[in-house]
Amino acid sequence: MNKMKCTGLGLALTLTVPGMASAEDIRIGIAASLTGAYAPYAEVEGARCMADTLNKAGQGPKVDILVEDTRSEPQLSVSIAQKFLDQGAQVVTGIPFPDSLIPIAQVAAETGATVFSAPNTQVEMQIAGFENFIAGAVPDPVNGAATAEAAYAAGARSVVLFKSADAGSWSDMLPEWFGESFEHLGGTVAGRLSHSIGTSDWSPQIAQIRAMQPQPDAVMISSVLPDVGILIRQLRASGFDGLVIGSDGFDDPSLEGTVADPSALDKVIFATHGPTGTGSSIDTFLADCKARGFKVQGIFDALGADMVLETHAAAVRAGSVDPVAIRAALRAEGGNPGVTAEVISYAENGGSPVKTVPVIGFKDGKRVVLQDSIPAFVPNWR
Amino acid sequence: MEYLIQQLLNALAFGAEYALIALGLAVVFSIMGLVNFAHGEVIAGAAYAVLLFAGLGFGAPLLVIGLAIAAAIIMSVALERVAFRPVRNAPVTTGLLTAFGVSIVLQNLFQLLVSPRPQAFPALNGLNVTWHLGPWAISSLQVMELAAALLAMLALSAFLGRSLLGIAMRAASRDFSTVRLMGIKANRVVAAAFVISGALAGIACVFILARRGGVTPDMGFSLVLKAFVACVIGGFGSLFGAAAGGMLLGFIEVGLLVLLPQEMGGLKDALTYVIVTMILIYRPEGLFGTRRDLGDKEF
Repeated sequence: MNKMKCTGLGLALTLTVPGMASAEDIRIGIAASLTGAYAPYAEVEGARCMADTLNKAGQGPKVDILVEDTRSEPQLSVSIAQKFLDQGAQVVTGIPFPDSLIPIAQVAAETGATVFSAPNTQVEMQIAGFENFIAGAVPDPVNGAATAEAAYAAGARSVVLFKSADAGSWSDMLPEWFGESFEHLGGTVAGRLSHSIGTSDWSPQIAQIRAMQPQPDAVMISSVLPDVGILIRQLRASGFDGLVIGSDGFDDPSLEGTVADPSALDKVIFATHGPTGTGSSIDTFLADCKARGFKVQGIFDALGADMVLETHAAAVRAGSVDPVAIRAALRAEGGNPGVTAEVISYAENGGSPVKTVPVIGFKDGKRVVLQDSIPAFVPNWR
Repeated sequence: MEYLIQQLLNALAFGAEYALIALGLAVVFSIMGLVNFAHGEVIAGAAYAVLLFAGLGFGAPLLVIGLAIAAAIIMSVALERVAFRPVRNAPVTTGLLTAFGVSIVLQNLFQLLVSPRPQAFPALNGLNVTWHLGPWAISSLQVMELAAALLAMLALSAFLGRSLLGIAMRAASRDFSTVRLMGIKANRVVAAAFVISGALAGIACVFILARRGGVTPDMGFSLVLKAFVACVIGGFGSLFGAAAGGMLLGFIEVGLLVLLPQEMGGLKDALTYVIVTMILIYRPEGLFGTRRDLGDKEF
């Protein structure tokens, strides 16, 4: 009987006290897309690696990462985030789209917790204006403006925009923000073409470009791999020799392998959240994580690591693990240290970071940083 | 005019891809009444298998093609044995749900055991060469895929019309019980359908890999949904209908992509289904399907 009581007590403790977290720890709850459509953009492994690094260093509060799979379902992500909040998480995150993040921000407001979406770039969350929301990446219009500067500097004067409604404003409006910035610099948008995410044959669009007179200097698209890799190959095979301009969707280690021919990458440029594949400090971080057994893949893991590092630094700065105090320190003047940038500041914009935007190009098939600055002109998206 | 002919060639290539996958679905449906939504994961599974073999040093293009077809056949037959045979006598909806379940399980396994991110696979890129014939640019892959779809259609017709197993399969599609009473083993007929379906998935996998140059967990899923639509347009159960439906869907998609003004580009999928619905209102059983007697459900 006593044994049964002990077992019951143990079971109850296991259910009510998850892990060995204490009230002095930082708990970051990641309702993560480990499976489903958004799984390629999960930031979990980078966050785990950074937490492990900080916990081993032993400075400041311990970081406890809570992870559950959302199966890429927004409704499930809200339930999981609520569970993390009930467990005392000071920071939670969900699927990086408004249908997940808006309800999470609403429930998190009740506990004072911050919703920190590391890979979120879409402007809808910034426009919604939640006081407790922070995005880890610069908004899409800033990304588009940075590539416009680099494309114009590379000599492009006319561009065709590829647009798709499939991934919301990221695939539909980002090209338009690029176009607006490009025209502000003196360039011309020569045309707009439709596509779908998941396209594996671009022949109809390429035939449309070939029929244009005069031929455009560049095409711009915000889409994912392998789609954009196929587009580059097919454009080059058709004889198109202009710039292929992209967004952070190009920033995947599989880009070079998918395109295969290094010369086909010579006139490819894209803006991203931090230079990877260029021997940067991000590459060093990712390589170290991999060596320690974390299954990191690329830039989204670095953004996840940003979230953990910034939150930890903010807690140290605030001298408290109170969620509201952490958020105030996250937004304090001077910013906090990150992995994708030395300092990441929210003091200016509140919900989105002020960071330089690296634009990546290629030389002999290898990635090179073409520019890494804050664009001078950004379309008014608010 | 040159532009129109170019887009016509593109539409043929789109249609050939859908037709090849639709044939794989139709073969199994005609025998078992099963809409095998896991057909896309057979394609993806074959792609991951050749990725693995290429990592082990077996990356020569001809070897990759053979391995892709073999892997798809093995996976297709294995799925029949493990997942579909136990529900063979269950209602059609059970089979449908099982196929969806298998599809999701396999996609999740690819994501968790390999990676959710794309894996580059350039070994077959050499198959995709652009030929410039006068004003037209034709991809070698487009020609090969069209030829493969036609050959598959002809080979299937010959097999089903002339071989004993093929005749047994056709008979089974009409009345499985009678075929069994005549001494033909049901498992053999069903397994043959899955072998053919797997081989078609393997051939489709080769073309998809050559075009994409990469492997993703969901690489077959959306194509199978389109192939399903192609089968419905053509008439489920009709092999010729599946191929014709695939070609028609290719023409509808490319036509809308080219003709719709850019600002209406988001309506492409919606309009595709409006056209499909209109076809089905005109021919509810599909263009080449046989009309079923609905008894008191008739208007």
